[in-house]
Amino acid sequence: MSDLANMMRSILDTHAKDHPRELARSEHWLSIRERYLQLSLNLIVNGHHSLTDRVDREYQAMRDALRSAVESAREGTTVQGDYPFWEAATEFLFTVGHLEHWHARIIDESRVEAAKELPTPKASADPPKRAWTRHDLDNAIREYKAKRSASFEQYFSVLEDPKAPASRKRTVRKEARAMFGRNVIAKALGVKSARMVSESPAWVAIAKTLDLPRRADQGTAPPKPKTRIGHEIAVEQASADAADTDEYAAADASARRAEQEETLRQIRKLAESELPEAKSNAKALFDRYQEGTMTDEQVREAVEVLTASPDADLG
Amino acid sequence: MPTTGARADGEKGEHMTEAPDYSHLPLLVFMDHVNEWANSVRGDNFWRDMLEHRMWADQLREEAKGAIVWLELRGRDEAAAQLDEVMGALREAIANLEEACEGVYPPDDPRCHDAREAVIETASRVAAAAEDLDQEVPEEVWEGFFDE
Repeated sequence: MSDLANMMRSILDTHAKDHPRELARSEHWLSIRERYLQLSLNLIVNGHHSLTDRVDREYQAMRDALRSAVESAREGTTVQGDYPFWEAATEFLFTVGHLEHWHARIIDESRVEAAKELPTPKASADPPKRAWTRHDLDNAIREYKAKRSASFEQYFSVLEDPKAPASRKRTVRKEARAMFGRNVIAKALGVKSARMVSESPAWVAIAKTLDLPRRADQGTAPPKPKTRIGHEIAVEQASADAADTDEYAAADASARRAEQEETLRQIRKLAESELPEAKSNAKALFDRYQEGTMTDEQVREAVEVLTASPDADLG
Repeated sequence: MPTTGARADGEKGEHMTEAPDYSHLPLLVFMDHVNEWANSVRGDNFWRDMLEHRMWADQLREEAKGAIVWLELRGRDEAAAQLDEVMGALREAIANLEEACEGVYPPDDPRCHDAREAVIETASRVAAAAEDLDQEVPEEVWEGFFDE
């Protein structure tokens, strides 16, 4: 968590001459978002509510200002148009710079004690990752589809039906991605590199039939979701939207980032809930996740158990 | 016997006391820095050195933010909010000054002069607020503030 201030200095120095649109699209900006989520969550789980509010408020102000700068750029921007963004970014930089300098004090001044015990995550239902030959993977994907042929046919019939409402088709596309998406199949089959799934003719055929987002699809960009979508779909979307420089590495990095952000969001949801011991459990989960002693899956399983507890106050 | 802080007699035999050392009190240090900046803004060279004063103001913003963040870290939310508020006013006054002086010859422009006066007045409020808050915040709150 020690480099968010450096990232901010970098965008103020490097992107000062760039158009805000370039910054908004950059990996740099996505990394800042990821670090911000970590910092904000660190503050929440340690009970620093005022500082959490400040960091959230200043980050949001910066984001809003960037959005405005990008929009005004479409109409022909001037430096003045970017001024609010640089001001907001400067305030955010000052805040995170001081917080990172006093990182140890955030822990020392913590008002929350981490839970000593957490729910034991069950063994993963997904197979362990292994290497695949192209031939075996193609066959495995066909078999995967065959086992879900009823759903596949149902999705196809809705998508091909000219009379089906657009809203129904949108729902079906989401469901199709959650079942047949590239990363979903990669995880289900234990494929080390999701790229191999992308390159499998068996998967490409599925993707074309069900209109799944693919790297090769250079046409219309997928619409930005206006509402929160499921985690797996977010991972798929991030993967499809990734930058092209190192196509698949970037796609996997984006998928990884989306996964981490979802995990952080779930911990935050727990921390902000009214459940008994919510903060101490969230702090323990966050600490272990940051240390690397719990995986994304384990953290999410633990959150699921904690929020499903009979003692939970679901109000 | 001279009291602690007093030193040897001056030329005329008067007792002279040393200025109190408040280098360990961030708000009073900040107050001094703000007053120094405001005095410079009043000066005749201000119009020539506007960019340098802007950069100097950014240093003051960073310094103030440090105090604000520390106060919130130590649970002094109200004090932090008060300093935050006056700093917001100063940022706004500086932005107004830049906008008023854009595209004109500042030394001759009345609007520019008025905006400068507003900045100086707001800076005085900031310094006053820092001094008042220093009275409210116990010294022990600042333990560790200057640690590396």
